[in-house]
Amino acid sequence: MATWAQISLQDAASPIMEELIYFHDHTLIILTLIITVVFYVLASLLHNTFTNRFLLESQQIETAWTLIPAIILIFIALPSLRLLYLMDEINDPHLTIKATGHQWYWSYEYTDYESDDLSFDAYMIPTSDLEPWEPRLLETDARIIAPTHSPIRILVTSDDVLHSWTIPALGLKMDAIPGRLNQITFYAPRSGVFYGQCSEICGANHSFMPIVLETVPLEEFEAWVNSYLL
Amino acid sequence: MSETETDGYSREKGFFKIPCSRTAFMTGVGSGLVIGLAHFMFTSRVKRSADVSVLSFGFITLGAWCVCRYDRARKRLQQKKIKENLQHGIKLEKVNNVTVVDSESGST
Repeated sequence: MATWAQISLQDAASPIMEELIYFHDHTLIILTLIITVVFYVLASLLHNTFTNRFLLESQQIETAWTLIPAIILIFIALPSLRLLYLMDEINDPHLTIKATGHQWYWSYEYTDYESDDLSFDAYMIPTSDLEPWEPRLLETDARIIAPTHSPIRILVTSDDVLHSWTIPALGLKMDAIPGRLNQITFYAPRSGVFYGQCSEICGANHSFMPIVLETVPLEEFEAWVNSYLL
Repeated sequence: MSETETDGYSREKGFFKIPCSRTAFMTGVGSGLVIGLAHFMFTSRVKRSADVSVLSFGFITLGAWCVCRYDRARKRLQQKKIKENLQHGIKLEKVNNVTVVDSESGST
């Protein structure tokens, strides 16, 4: 989860998020180089006392400052498209969870199991009711439980207004749109607790409808499912 | 790989903690200085040599970055394949008369 004053990406908890971090680093280096060169050009312009009153055009410089940005954009676009298509790959999910946004909480349904009992709402725990170790504005009264080492599909929708279901550590973000089912998949290679917050303005308590996902080994997940169904 | 640099799963924050960033920038800075100095030695033009130095820093840093990241990705893939083969070997330990089918190519 994020620590205070953190502006960087969270540590990756899934292979896709790891790839996103690599792409971010790659683009950051390119941007740093561009800014360095631009600042150098700006500084040398400020120190330049030459004036050419008859300068109208120059084919060479026009060619250079067209080709060089095009090449830089290719360096950015190729990894970007590769990652975009990687994120959209169909990977035969083992489990489907439906996440529905409401004002102002999330509800989850595990409809793979024929029982209707495996559904619950997740409300934020108010600050006054928090235990000392629980993070403020992030903890909920119910967590989504998912198995590790399994591709999971999340179907996101909304019951009222636009919301967005987000877990930064897994690289997940999908808009919850009323009347539409959006699909996002993830793969968690390790157990852990991952936090997220609603990412589309949805009213007064938009900042107070967090998401908590807990990934556990398959045996524990099955035990949890059985505890709900029995 | 440097001990201070780690991949995306868990890493310290900071620009030079990004894997390959230190290598790329050191290569770029060093090469830019050498090329700029060499240009000045041959031409005695200060400003043009500075321009050449900065531009070569930019291109060489980008090139060193891409090469380092490609090598790192290739090694990461090799490590992943070795790990998968080891796990597969552990599962098949002391098992005789096994036909192994490659799940990707379908070959035995």
